[in-house]
Amino acid sequence: MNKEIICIVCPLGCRMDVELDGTEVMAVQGHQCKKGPKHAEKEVSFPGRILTTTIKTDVPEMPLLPIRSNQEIPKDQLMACMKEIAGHPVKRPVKLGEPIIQNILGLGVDMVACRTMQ
Amino acid sequence: MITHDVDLAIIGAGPAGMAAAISAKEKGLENILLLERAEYPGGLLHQCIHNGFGLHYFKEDLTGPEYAERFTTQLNEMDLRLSLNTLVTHLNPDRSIVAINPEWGEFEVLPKSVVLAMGCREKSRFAVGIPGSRPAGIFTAGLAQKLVNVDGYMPGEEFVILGSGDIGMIMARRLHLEGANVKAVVEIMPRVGGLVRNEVQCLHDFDIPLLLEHTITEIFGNHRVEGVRIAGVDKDGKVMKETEKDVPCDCLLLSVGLIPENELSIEAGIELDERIGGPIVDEYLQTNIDGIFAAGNVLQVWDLVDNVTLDGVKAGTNAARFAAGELKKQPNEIEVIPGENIRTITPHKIVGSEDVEFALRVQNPIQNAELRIGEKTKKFRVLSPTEVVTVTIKPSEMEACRESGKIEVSCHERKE
Repeated sequence: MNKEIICIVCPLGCRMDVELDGTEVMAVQGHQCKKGPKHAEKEVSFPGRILTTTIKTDVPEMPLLPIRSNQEIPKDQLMACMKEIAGHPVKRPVKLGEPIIQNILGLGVDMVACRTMQ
Repeated sequence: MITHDVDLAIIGAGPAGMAAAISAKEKGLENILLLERAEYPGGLLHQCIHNGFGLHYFKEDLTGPEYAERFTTQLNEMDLRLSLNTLVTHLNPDRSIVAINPEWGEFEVLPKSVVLAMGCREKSRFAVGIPGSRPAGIFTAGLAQKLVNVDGYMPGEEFVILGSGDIGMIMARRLHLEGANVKAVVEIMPRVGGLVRNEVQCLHDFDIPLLLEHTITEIFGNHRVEGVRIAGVDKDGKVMKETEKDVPCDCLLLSVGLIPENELSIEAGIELDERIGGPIVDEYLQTNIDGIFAAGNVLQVWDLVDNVTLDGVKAGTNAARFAAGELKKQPNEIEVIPGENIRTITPHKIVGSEDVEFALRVQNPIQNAELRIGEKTKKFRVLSPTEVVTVTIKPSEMEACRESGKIEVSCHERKE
């Protein structure tokens, strides 16, 4: 099976034609440096993203607290995480970097505060 | 009217202004006043909750609020004076400032030096001239970003986004994550306006359709947006009528570019670069008025906040050097001439005899590029109009230019 993966390592943005056997990369074409195949490998074996979003607070003058995942979350779990976060309003005070939701959906990833809320 | 005598007044406490204040203080300036229109420092960083900030400056991948807090913490620790809820209404050629806030009413600031750090603002519907009625539901992408990320409102349910700049693409993902239906991102150019990583991680990841070489020719709806008409454009940018298609939606976001915010600069008689919209500056980031410096997006719209911070550092440091009488000017000024394939470049002139850092944007994407700055050449694998490049030149590399009073900058494909 072949899949197009755009390399995002540099602004060149090579469109790579990646030949796959299941989740194993067999061949890569269209890249212009060795970083391309490495990126393709990662996109195929663990397509993860940092999730950044907000969570409701009990503070009227700051209704939302920005939060992020402290590690990458599998791409196909991002929407499920958004649903989970919606059900957890947060109370003040909060320190920068404090875990707001630990081990979200059992993924081993914490959602942490991106700012202080006094 | 209360009058404040200060060494340095900084207009705007976003990333550029905060960095300028911290650097000026580190350089020994004591009496610094930051004037900020909003009720908190940090500027737009608070609404930019996505990551990708600080990769260059901190070598870390931070979100906007995290990046801001690094600086706001430092402002507090260094005991820098910050006047919030403060609108600057006038800037005069003698550097005096008139401002207004709830605490002091209308007041005057008499600074020895000024850093302009007002940032930029978004182009609106009228800048791109979309015909049709004027219903509710048309937002600039940044305004929608504030509503969703700071205030907690969803401005609509079904979105079309015009323009594929970074904010437009980032908002497409954000709205999708919050449960909205993003029907299309429409871009008149044959390539996205923003960074490749945003095209992949914001649009492809969520299968959000991207219509390149398309535009919006009409907005429907009287009270509320009911839809838009999307059409393809030919290679000259002309609308191809036969490709028109109506797409229902209740919200249209515009991500069609940013303009440096320079009303105050104009009033003070600061000369602007018509192409960029920001002040004409020398390598110290000093404008045509001695002691008035410009930093960050008010000078030119950067892609990365890291560059905005570096601008602030430079302007703040030089404002302190100006106060100490350390900013030396050579008798012969060198004019910077943008040549082939250069869209924008700063600084516009070279007045001193120190290293000069140029920041430029090319006109068209170019592979195997060779950048020529006077006698110096530098090779790049690729240069793209979506990214500002910075190159530093030593005074010894500009000797010849000092004779002629000119330095030309151009970008060519390498012939090998």
